[in-house]
Amino acid sequence: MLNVLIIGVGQCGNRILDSINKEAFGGSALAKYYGTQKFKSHVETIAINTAVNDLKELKHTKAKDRIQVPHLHGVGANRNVGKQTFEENKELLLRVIEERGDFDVAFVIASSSGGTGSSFAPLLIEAMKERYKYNVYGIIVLPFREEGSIYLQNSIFCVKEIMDGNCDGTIIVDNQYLKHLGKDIKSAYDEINLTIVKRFLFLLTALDSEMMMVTDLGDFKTVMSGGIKLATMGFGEGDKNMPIKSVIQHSISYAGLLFKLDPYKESNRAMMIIEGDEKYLNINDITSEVEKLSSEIGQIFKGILLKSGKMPKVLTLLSINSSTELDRLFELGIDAVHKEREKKEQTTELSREIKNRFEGLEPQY
Amino acid sequence: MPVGAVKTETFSLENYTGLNFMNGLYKIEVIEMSKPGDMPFVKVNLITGGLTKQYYVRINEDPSIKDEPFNQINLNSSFISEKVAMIAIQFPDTWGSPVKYTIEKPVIPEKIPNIVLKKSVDKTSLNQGDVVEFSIIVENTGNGTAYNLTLDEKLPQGFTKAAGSSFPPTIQDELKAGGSLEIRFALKAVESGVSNIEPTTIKYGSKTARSNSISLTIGKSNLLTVINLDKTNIFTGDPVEVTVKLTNIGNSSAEAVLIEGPIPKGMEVTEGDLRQVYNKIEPGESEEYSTTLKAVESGNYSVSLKTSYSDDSTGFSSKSDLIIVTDKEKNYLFILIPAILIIAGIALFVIRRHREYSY
Repeated sequence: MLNVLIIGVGQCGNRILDSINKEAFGGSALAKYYGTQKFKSHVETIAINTAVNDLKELKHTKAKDRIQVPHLHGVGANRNVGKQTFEENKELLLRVIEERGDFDVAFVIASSSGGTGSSFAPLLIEAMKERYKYNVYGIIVLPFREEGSIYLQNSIFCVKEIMDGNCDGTIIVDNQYLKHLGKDIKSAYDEINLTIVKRFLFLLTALDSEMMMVTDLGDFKTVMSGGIKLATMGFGEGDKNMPIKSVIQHSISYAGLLFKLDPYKESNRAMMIIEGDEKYLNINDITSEVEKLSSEIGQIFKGILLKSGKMPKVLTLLSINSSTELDRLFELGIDAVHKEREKKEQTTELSREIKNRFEGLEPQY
Repeated sequence: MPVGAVKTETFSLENYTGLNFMNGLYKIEVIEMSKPGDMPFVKVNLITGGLTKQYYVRINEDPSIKDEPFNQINLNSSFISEKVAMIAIQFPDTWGSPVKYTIEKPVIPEKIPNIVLKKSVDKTSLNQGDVVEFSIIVENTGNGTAYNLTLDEKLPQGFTKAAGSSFPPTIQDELKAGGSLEIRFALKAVESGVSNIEPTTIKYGSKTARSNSISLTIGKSNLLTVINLDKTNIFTGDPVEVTVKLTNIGNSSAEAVLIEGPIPKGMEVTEGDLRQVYNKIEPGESEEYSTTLKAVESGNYSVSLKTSYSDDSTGFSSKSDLIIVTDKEKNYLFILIPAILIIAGIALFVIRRHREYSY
């Protein structure tokens, strides 16, 4: 059994973490009062935030697992404040992690665009990598593009810092890409979070299961470290009338991925986990699809979980070696930085002019 | 035909008179004479040589006697009345005149019928409603046929005609000497007590024959039902045992005994059945059964049962003492405390979980 640590940082990371805990209870809102969590592995969860209200919103994460960085009510989307706060509270946070014991693997979930998550996540991953021997992976959520220039610039700096750091790999999830999942902003967030959670739990379960064809934590590490140390996940679920071939194809299609990616051109390693009843898993279909993908991207690790009576499910983890969508995000982010700088310079000039006008003036009574 | 010289003499002979020739050498005895309306004849015994032959003498018939040794004479009659006959006898002239004598008249026994009756029944002790079969054996122990038989049988007190049997019985007109016959009939007992069956009489000619009389005992069952309770003051939910005892205090068996009654409204049967059936309860014997009732509602109740049986198809009711049922104070603590503990446990668990997840 694997020992897994999952840390949600910031509002987005906390909510995804809370959804993970809820799903582990079976998805019922009241299950926490009578049920037990059904993780395959030994899982510890920690929610870290500077905003106490965000921590209070959580429903399925134990109070002892909610860590508020003291004396703050959020960093106001300012990554510099966030970084400073992290450094001031780094030992506190690491002590909290150490109190949970030793782990085989850790995941840090955060939004790239906000304040706390965006600023804490790269630093926390670095700190953990420096302090602990186990692999630390990030799950980073990219923002809706219309969320504004600060979020965009936060996002690109966050991603860049993670890419430049010692993180063992990061799974990226793009809200912009997934916004079709909800009708309004709240339902979109909820559905995106649930989508991430279900895939992540499927991955966790698979990594800790006896499979017909082995994919383990080592394979996962190899996939995650490929390319630019970024990856994304695709998922497909079939029924008795859908051949496994179609389910695999769905998992690497735009409809199945968490980030806009052309798997055949922009990925260089993959892990494919196939689950279902033996009667639905046609080996020829599986082999042909895997061969088709591997002939383009290179290495594919595949694992098959036989589960009697279950409809076929396919989770594909794709490492990214190049990404048009990521480039576009970076461009938007850089534009946002320039715009912010121009606005700041304009503000500074205006301030200077006002100061000059007030030179030598005193109020007269 | 006499051989040699013969002589003929005519004699006036009455019935049971005879002529003795030569000191018994040959005897002629008149033993029967025709009755009025008959063709006139005289029946005589011819006795000679130790032999006897009966011979009919009729008017103007051939007088010769052919059979030896009786053919020593010839007989001829010219007149025959019912008392006297004139008979001409031709006999050897060597014989002297016969000596007339009177012969002893044979005593002919009179043929008299004698009817003897024997009356019997298949049982002498019976119950009301039982059917008893009578048998009358009529025997003619006399030596004459009994004529014009008429039978007289009275319907005994306490009995009625039985289905399938005709009453009064009848008898055939005559019964020959030595003959016998059996007359059977059946009657149904309808009243209890001792019944003396009068003798059957049969008249024949001027005589009357009587049978024996019979005494029959017609018994009646009489059931007594007593309902006992093991307790009369109970609380709701408590059981009460009802014991029903049936005793036959009559002198006949009670059959097809049925005892039944409703369950008191505020009670229910937990064991046994208030309804019972017994095939037979002999006189002096008892049957007993128990049923357990449970009080469901408070109130005053009694067990009322109806007993019916063969001698009392209408039945009679018996009632128990009053059962006073009062509400038991329910000890809700037995329910409440575990419930509270369970709820408290759940609440504590939920609160603990809630605190675990409250921030």
